[in-house]
Amino acid sequence: MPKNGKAPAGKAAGKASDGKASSGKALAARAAITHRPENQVAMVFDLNKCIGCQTCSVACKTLWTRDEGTDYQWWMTVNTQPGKGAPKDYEQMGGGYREGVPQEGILPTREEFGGGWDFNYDEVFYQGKGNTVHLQPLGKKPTWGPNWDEDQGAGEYPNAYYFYMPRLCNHCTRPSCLEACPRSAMYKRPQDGAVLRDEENCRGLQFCAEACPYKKIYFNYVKKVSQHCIMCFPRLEEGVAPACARQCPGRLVFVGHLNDVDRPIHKLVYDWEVALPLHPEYGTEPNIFYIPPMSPYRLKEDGSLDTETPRIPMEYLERLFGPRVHKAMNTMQSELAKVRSGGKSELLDTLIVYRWHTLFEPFSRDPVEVGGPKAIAKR
Amino acid sequence: MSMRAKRVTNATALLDPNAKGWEKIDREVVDLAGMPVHLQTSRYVRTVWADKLVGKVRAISVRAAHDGERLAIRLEWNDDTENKEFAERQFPDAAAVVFPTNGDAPLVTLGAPDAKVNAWYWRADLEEGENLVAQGLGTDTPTKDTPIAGRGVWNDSRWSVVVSRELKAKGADNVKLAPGKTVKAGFTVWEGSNRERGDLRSYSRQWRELALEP
Repeated sequence: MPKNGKAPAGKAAGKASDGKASSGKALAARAAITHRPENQVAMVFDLNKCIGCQTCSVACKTLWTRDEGTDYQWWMTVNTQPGKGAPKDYEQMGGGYREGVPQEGILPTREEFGGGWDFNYDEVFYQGKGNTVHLQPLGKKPTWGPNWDEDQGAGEYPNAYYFYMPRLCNHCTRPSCLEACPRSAMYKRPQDGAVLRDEENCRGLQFCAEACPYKKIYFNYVKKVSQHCIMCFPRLEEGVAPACARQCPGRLVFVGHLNDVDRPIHKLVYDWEVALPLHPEYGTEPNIFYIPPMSPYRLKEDGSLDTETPRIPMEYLERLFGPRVHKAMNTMQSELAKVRSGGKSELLDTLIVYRWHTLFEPFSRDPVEVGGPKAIAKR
Repeated sequence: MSMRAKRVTNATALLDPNAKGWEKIDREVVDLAGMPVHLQTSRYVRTVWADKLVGKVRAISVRAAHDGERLAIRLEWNDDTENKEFAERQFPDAAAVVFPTNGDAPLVTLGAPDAKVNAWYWRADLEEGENLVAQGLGTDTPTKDTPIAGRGVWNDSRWSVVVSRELKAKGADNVKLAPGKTVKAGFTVWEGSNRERGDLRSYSRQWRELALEP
């Protein structure tokens, strides 16, 4: 794995500017540090297409977290919603900002993350006990892990519901992790907005992990430093999309520059306003966005369709994506209606993705062209 | 009044905190205070720790000895919880002796951009001590070229820790030591069960004088 690079001169990185700071000292003291690099790379996940196959999780795992101390780290996870998430109950662990004020966060424990277990392979495969002993983790019985509550969801038959939620570091515009580090060991790269850590300067204090409201920072108990998703920055530098996006069989992950007005991400986020950040109330301004999931109609007791009510309650989606989810869903519904009645919808055409390379432009280069995924990762 | 580093015949024997030789050396109790929260470099830390207790350990006893080749300093403090590792929402206990390498370096801010300090650092999870150089809070950086011996023993709710270095050490960032010389020293302790790490710690407020016997 490459070093995350040294912090650029003037560690506040890129165009660290705070629009509100000039309006008075008191306000400046309250506002979160804001970074808006011109070429912020963003991603949009279309949740309507996610089948929970974890190919993204494994693509990331095999590329980045195979070193010592990273066994339990899953920088990319896909969880069933509604659910407790990974780490368990992360939404109750605080962090982020409220009206610009940092909120106290809890450090997730190793057990709350789960994963990284050693299994009794030797016993099952090589000691002739294949018919008497089943494969299981060694040591203390796990109580949680990535996607532990898979496919449980919520609701009652016949109106039960669930959907999948891929999560990675949000590479925020107001990264509470970065601001929390007393050593300035973290920085946001000006060239792509990736939030990175100088591991040479990290002393394992873990204020970043406390302050991250999405709980996507892991502690490496061997190297004694914190670690998290690096947005596959060595791939971005070669024009290759991050592994989670490139490997996705559902072709549901857009990658690109947030400010590129001609490409899908900008349109989905700003023009159609159907791509929303997860938990905007955390105040960190994520650069990972989601197209919220549409759902079938509910069934009434007599078995007929309740065309007024989506099966996934809007209150639940609002809890995840904030009040703007209503407008987003209305837009999606009306565009769908347009197409059903024979019209055309640029929004739906964009989401259908007729040519899958367009998902990634300008990061659509085949990793094989530049030596293969492992070679890029080592650079 | 200055603390004394007693001249002994073999300071290397004192690297073990339980060594009998320490019993013959007078100790001095040093009061510690919590690091001021308003000086913390992180707004997150300033905000979240504003109403929390910083610096759980409020006193240590210090003994020091040298043999003309090596200085050993033994720190002792009461601690009901032995925090040996990074664990669930806990941090390893740690301690350090801090020396100014520029006479005016402030202790409370761990030096300044133009006035470095040198620290001999021990942390319960590390096998060796660390030589740190700092020029302000949040800037402490280990240097690899100067070995610091560091060993701690926790017994009966009490840590006994020895940090030690050879008197001779290359580099302007290392405190200059010699028999007969008096140097300034400060002391700092991290209580891991109180999630103390970084500049959340207790410290000795003022520099104390440490006189190496001739």
